[in-house]
Amino acid sequence: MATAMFIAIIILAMSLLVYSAGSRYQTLRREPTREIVQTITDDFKRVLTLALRKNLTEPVDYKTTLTDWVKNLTCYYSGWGLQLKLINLPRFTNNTSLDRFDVEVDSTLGINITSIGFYGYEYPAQVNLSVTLTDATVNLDENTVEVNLTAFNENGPASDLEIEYLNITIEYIREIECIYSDHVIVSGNSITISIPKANFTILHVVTNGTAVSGINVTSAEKIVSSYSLTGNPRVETRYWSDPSVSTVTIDFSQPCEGMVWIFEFENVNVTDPIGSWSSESGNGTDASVDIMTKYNNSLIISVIGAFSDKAGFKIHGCDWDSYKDIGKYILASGINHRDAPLNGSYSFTWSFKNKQANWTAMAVEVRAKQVEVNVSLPPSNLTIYYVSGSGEYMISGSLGLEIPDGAIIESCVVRIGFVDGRGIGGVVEKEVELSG
Amino acid sequence: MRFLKARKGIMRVVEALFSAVIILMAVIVSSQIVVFPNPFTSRTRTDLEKLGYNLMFRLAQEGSLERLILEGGDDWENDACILFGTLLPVGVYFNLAVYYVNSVYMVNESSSILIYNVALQPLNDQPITNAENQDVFRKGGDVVSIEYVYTMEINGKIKTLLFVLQLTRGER
Repeated sequence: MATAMFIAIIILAMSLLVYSAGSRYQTLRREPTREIVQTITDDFKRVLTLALRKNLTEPVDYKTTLTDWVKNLTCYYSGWGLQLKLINLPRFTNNTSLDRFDVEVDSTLGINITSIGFYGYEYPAQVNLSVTLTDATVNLDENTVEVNLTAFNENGPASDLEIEYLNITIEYIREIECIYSDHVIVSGNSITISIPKANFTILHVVTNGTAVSGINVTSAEKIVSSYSLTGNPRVETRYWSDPSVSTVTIDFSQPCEGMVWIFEFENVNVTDPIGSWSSESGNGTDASVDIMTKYNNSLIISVIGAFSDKAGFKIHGCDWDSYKDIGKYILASGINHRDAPLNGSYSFTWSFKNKQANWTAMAVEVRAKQVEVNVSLPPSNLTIYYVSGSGEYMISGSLGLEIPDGAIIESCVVRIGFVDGRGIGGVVEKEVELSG
Repeated sequence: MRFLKARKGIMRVVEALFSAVIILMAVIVSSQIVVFPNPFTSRTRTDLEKLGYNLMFRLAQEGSLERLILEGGDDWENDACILFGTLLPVGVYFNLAVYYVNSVYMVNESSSILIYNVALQPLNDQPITNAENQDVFRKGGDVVSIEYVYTMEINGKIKTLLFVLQLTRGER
């Protein structure tokens, strides 16, 4: 009987133990600590990302932004006894250069949740995006562009990069083309010359010392400037850019003898046609003038006037020359053209073959027309490959560019605009050598 | 003496019967006491919390919360209702409220001390819920409340929104 009672008590005790365990399981509440902490840390990283993104367009006070955020969350979760502290204040670094976009912000957040005994948690957050334009090729024969990019964020290779556009700027220079050249002999105090219409006209007037008093073109105000050298002989160079001019009348201060050289060009930089100029004068058996050009791919025109009393006087070393007898004197003039592919010093020399002469020479740098072509390809016109797991993007597209024959390419810049899945974006660019 | 010995044997039988009855009663009582907890009722709260947080984490990770608010237009509450109604399992009722955490500095007139005050302003004009009436939250089973903060850029300013998602099961 006693044994039975003992067994019964054991059974009941075990039952109560099982019951209490089950009922405790039912009543104990599991606090979602992990979820709350993750909510806070996720939002902390989001604030850093937003601040970094915003900072790319306007300055952001990181400290104020995050301090306000901490205050908001602390107040909201005050029922939990949440304590937030910025252990490391946000630090923004920007190592961006032309072909590299590299921005980063990092900070550390300390979290205590006193109501559930959660203390001393530190969450170091870092937001980073680094995009490098590693290689770019522009092929003008095939009219294609190929670009390689690498993109990394704080977690490793970034696979969420969106290419917003691919832009190519090509600067080239049109070769200056002489479309008309002539010369006329002057005798009197005025001369009228008919010329074909052209974008740029340059006149060289060589006289026996008489100055040009005016040039009456259809639009006289288009005469940009004039260069002249006094003396005997006298050389003046005048130019204008007005395609409507078809007749020019040159008036002299007094009746004179001389000649006028007329040259008309296409593909001249009409907004700023003259780079530099220089002049020399002297007496002797030879002549020279030096010029220091300012720009690449210019054209230099030089003119010389010489006055001599020697029979059979000739200027040697000219592309074109002209002579006029004035009594016992000879007024001679010559013209030279020369391409100047690089800016630097250039010389023109003439020889009178041991015959003495007074001479005056001038050299003028005429600038070539610079053309800028800009092509922007939207993502829909690009083929974009992402090499999985490597952070490497291979982008290619068709340009549809038309560069005229004879154009001299000065520069070609490839630009890529991008943005990642978090909205952090920028531009990288690289100057490339053209192939083809 | 022989008679007495025979009576003692009967008592042993009676004693055994009592013992058997006592043990049987103990087993019956213990089987009544030990009722294994109903998994539905015991795990509902935890499961709902996990479900709610997982849903919010997922929507935040995919940027859906941001798109919902910024690109949803005037009728974003309806879009939110469809979104949550689609993603939550059948039989789970939800009630979503979005608050704008507005922080202002106020001056205490008596002490002239600057007080930092946080006020919650509701962002949704209409209720975002799939429950036909709110009785399901009052009379139903466990109700869990998921509080999720989400910071986004609204009109060029960095703002913190508070999503309060209440979940409950309709039936036991």
